[in-house]
Formats: sequence, structure tokens, C-alpha cells
Amino acid sequence: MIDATCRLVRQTLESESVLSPDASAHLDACPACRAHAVLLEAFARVPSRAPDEAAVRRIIAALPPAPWQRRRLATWLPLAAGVGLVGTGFALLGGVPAPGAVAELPGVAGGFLSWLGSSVLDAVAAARASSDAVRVTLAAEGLWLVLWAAVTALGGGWALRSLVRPVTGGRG
Amino acid sequence: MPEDDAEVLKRVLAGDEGAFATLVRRYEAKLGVYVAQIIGSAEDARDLVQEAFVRVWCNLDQYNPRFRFSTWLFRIAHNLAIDHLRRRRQPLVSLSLGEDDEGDEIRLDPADDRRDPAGDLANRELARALSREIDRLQPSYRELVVLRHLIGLSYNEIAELKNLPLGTVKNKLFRAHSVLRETLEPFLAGVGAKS
Repeated sequence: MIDATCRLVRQTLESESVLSPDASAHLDACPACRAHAVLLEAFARVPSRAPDEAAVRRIIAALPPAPWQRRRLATWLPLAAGVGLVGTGFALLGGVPAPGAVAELPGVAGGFLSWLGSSVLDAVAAARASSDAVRVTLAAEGLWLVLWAAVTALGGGWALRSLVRPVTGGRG
Repeated sequence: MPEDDAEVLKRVLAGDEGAFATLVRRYEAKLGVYVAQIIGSAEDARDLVQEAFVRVWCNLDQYNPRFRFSTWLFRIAHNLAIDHLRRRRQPLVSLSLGEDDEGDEIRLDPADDRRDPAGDLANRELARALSREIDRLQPSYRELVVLRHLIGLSYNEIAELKNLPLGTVKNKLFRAHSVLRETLEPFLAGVGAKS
């Protein structure tokens, strides 16, 4: 068993702190603590191996093209593709569309959506009313309307999911 | 003052790929000592060190800056070394530090030009005995002694790397030093008397 002073002195040596005068006096008088100090000094004199330039060159030469750069590219690729498409559209139109055409777009889109909505509601209401009404609706080519609405909903859903879903590149 | 690892990494990720050589130069030798200590072969350690750097390079964008780069690098090297041992089913360990330019094995040698000639023999004997006794330490002590004194990691870095509380690292090293001091008492007394 070592006594408390020995432990304190050795722990101070290990933490590379400055010894107090009392601790220094103890170190002079205690062969075991002095041996501890010599051991730590011996470790401190261990030479560190110098970097091996040949090894550094070999390692650098072995590095593949940075895969994280490819992953970054993959993350930005959809945006770049979108910008490219818009650019292509501008090129085909011969420039930015006329203000009138752009201003009409929300109105046209809104009208189309409300027509689509009311048609679907009419078809559903007719179907719920009676089988005769269903037959009438079908006879009036309502089936095509329902099919068309279903396909549109699927396509729209897919497009929305693509927009909302986060882009994931590489490993997590 | 050398550039911080985090700063070098920022440069690499910003497109200055040549900056990675700074990190390789900084850690290649230390990693070589560490891996050689685990697998007991300086030659195989070279390949594993290269593999560790390649893995780090390939996953640089996934490095978590909350941890030290050195911790990440040493952990990858450690895992590679353990996989290598499993493949070879060979136990540890030698305290080889690699080989010098002439192919001779470098061993622990606390030589110091400042010492006086009279202490030379005692120092050499101590170095040899120290190397031998470190080899004989139980593995958990030996690894910490190597990380602290041969590789030069701080207590905090060791704690992070080994996933141990800082106090545990300090206690284990204290105990390892105590074991070494007891076994090396005659050599230490010889050197201590001359200093």
C-alpha cells in the first residue's frame, strides 16, 4: 500500500503539474516516487517516428476519385436538371413568355381544377343516387371521366411525392 | 503553429484535395505504430494504414465534427486491425515501431542526446527493459500506454477513442505506470541516481 502523500505526488507527476515545495521535498526523500518520476521522464524521451514521405506518397496515390464529390453532384443534379429544362423551355419559346400568357396561367389552372372537381363530385353523387343514374352517367361517357380523374390523381400524387420527398444521397 | 485538423478538413471538403496530404503526413507514422502494436506486424500495418486513409477519404463528407478527426481515424484503423486479426486468427503483439530506411526494426529507445555519457548505458538498459515490460503488460494497460507514450495522444483523446471515462483512462494509466515502476525498480533507481 502506498501512503496518501506518495499517491498525491505521483498523481501530480502524471498530470504534469508543478510540484509544491512539500511534494518536491517528498520526492527527494522517497525512492519509489523518484522512480515513478524517472519512469515518466523515460516515456517523455521516447522519440516519435518521423513521417515517411514515401508512405505518404503511396497513400495519396492510392486514393480513389473523391466519392463524396460524386455524392454532392447527385444531390444537386435534380436542381441542375430543372434549371436546364427551364432554360430549354425559354430557348424553345424564344425568351420569357409574354406577361399576358403568364398572368393567365393561375386563372386557367384554377378553372380547370374546379371543373375537374365538380365533374368528379357529380359522378360520385350520381353513383350514390341510384344504379339508373350510374347507367346514365356511364352512358354519357362518365366512366371515361372517372378513369381520367383517377389517372390524374395518381400522376399528381406521384409528382407531389417527388417534390416533397427529401433527396437522399449515399449512405446515411 | 500547425493548422488544426478541422481547418485542414474544411479545405479538403472545399475542393483543396491536396490538403489531405497534410493529414496523412500528420498521422501516418502514429497510425503505423498503433496498428503494428495491435497486429504485431509492421509490414501488414503499412497496408492497413493505407486502407484506413482510403476509407477516411471515401467518407469524408460523413465525418462528424463533434469528434476529433484523430479519434475517427484511429477508430477506423483499430477496426481494420481487429478485422485483420480475426482473418488471421493471430493474437497480439509486439512493440515494433515499424522499420527504418534500411529495413531494420525500430524499437522503443528513449535515447536522449542531452544525457551525459555516464548515464548512457543505464538509459539504454532502461529503454530495453521498458520495451520488454510494456510488452508484458496486460493488453488493456498496454494499449493505453502505447496510445499515451508512443503515439502521444492526450488523456482526452484516449478517452474519446476508447470510449472510456476520462477518470478511468487516468486510473488505468496510473496503475500501468505503477506496475512498470515496480518491475523496473532496479533500472529506474540506476538512472535516478545519475540524474
